[in-house]
Formats: sequence, structure tokens, C-alpha cells
Amino acid sequence: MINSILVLGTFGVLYLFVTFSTPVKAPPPIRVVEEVVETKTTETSEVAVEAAPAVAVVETHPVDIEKGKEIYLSTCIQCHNKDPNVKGPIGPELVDAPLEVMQVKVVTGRYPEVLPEGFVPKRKTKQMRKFPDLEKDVPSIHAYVQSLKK
Amino acid sequence: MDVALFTQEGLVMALRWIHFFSGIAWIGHLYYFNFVQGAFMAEVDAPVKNQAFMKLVPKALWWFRWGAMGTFLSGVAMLSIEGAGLGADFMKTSYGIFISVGALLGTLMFLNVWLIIWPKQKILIANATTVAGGGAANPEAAKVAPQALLASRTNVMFSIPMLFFMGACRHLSLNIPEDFSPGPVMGVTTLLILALELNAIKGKLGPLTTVKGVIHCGLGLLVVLYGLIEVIV
Repeated sequence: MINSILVLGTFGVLYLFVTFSTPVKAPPPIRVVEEVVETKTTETSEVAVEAAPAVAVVETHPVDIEKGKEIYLSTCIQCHNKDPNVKGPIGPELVDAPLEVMQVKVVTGRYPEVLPEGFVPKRKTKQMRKFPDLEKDVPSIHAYVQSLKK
Repeated sequence: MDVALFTQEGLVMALRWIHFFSGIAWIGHLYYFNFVQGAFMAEVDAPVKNQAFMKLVPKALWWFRWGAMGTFLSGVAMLSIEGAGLGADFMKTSYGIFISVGALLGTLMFLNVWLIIWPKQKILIANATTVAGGGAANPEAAKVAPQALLASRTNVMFSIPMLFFMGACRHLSLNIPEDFSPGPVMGVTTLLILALELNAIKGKLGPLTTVKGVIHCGLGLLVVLYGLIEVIV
């Protein structure tokens, strides 16, 4: 009995030590692609074409609704509802989440510092964990959620 | 290499696994005591009954009470981590409402085990040992047996809605309005549960006397508690 407690206790202490001593990685920053129109000069007119101002946009990834469905039904519904029109047991309904909000929320677990106009977060909670590995799949998840919008 | 188990989510999962393991050990023995052992003890002769109390019951009670301890401690740890993450929004989620009712039932069950059932059972085991050795029966034993039975039966009744709410907290979504206030629903459900617990301490067995009765009462309590939550939320 005492031996079992000692062995289990040792494993428990080792597990807690490894868990809490593992450095927490900072979430990868949202990649921003700057669309820059190169300044070109034409030999014939020799008039410089005015450069367009640099525009910051979230890098887009290919959309695959089937993949979005697969991820949504295997990962997101741990907290959100299977039907994204209604609240889940922990997370709110997702149909109103704009892509840029979902992108930051999934990767970092936090809302973006600057929210889109008119968008109000449904929860103040910090419960959502981050899923940096799903960064490129967020547009697919978003597309799947939107396909179910009522 | 990222190891999923060595994260906060992994820690909650490890605690959940301990919660399941010890919970099965605890509630499995609770059902054994109430659904199997009680009927067996009523049928056998006194010497067999004494032998069972001396050799069988202590072993079963060890797993029973330490299972309860493991379930309670892992549950408190899990709830602390998950509750801290949800913060002020905790009671505005289905998770918060269901787990609060389930945890209240589970906590009272845990207290019933350690503060009522186990102390009374120690008296019964000591009495069986004395009688088997040719000593005089302890009159206290006849008094504490029904008290232990009432607490044990109450735990069976509580376990039925408790298991439902434990599962529902992550797998059933209530339609909670934005301006929801948890006071009324938690107040009413808590009062009902505390009244039943008061009966477990000072009251009577009533319909909990039979196995059929306690299962029906557990199902009835589940319907009432869930109905109250749906109506008030």
C-alpha cells in the first residue's frame, strides 16, 4: 500500500513538474501580407505611375469546407455547439464571428486588439485555448460555420 | 516536441481520468452495497453475515471511501482550473450551471461517505467482530445501521442526477439569455438538494427503503432538477 502511494506520488510530482516547467510558447503572430504595387516607369512616357498605398490584409489560405467541417466537429465542439447558430456548453454561437476575429481567436485564444466595427465579443472569458496549428485552416472552419448560418 | 499531456489542457485531462477511475470505484461500490449486498445480508444467517462484515465489507469500504476521496479531490482541482479560466462568465454558461448542481450533489455524497456512512460502518464491523468472538452485541449497532442505510440510499438517489449533470456540463447546451442571472436557479435547486440532505441526516427512509424506490426517487429528482433549470433559465 505504502509502496503504491510512493510510486504514484512520484509519478504525480514528476508529471506536475514537467507540465509546469515546460515553457509556454508565444503564439505565432498573425502573418500580414503587404500588398505593394511596384513603382514602374514606362520608357515611352517616362511618367512614373503613382504607387498605391500599402494595404495590410490577413494572408488568405485556400478554403476547403469539408476540412473545415472535419476540424469543427472534432475540435471546436468540445466547447461550441454542433450547430454554430446556438450557444455551446462553454463557447458562444459562432455564426456572427468575422473571419479576422476567428483567425486571431483560434491562433492566440484572444480577441484581436482592434475589433471590426460593429462586432461585440459575446464573452469576456479567457477560457479558450489557442490552436496555432490550425492557423491555415481557419478560413475553412469559418466557411463551414457560415454554410450553416440560418 | 510538444506533448499534449504536458499542458494545462493535459493536466485537466489527467485529472479527469483520475476523476473517472476513482468515481467508478466509488459509485460502483455504492451500487454494489445498495443493489447487491443489502439483499444478500437480508437472506443469510447471522454467522455468515458476521463473516461478511468482518472479511468482505471492510475491503469493499476501503475502495468505496478512498474512491470518494480521489473523485472529490480531482473534481475540486478540475473545477478550480476550468472555473478560473471562465472567470466572471462561469455562471453564464451551460457548463457553469450544470457542473454547479452536479458538484453540489457530489460534494454532499462525499461528505455522507466520510462523515456518516464510514463512521457508522466502523461500529457495525467492530460489533460483528465482537459477536463472532463470542462477545455481547453492541446496542449502538442496531441504532446506527438505519442511519448508515439512509445516507447510503440518499447517495444512490443523488448519484442519478449527479451523473446526468456531470455529463451534461460539456455535452448539453442550455439557451441562456444574455442578461441571465444565476441567483434564482441556483437558489431553488440548492434549497431542494439541501432539504433532501437534511432528510439524509435526520429524516426517514420512506420510499428509499427499496432498491426500486431509490431508483425511482433518483429519476424523479433528475426530472425535477432539470425541469427547474430549464424553466428558470
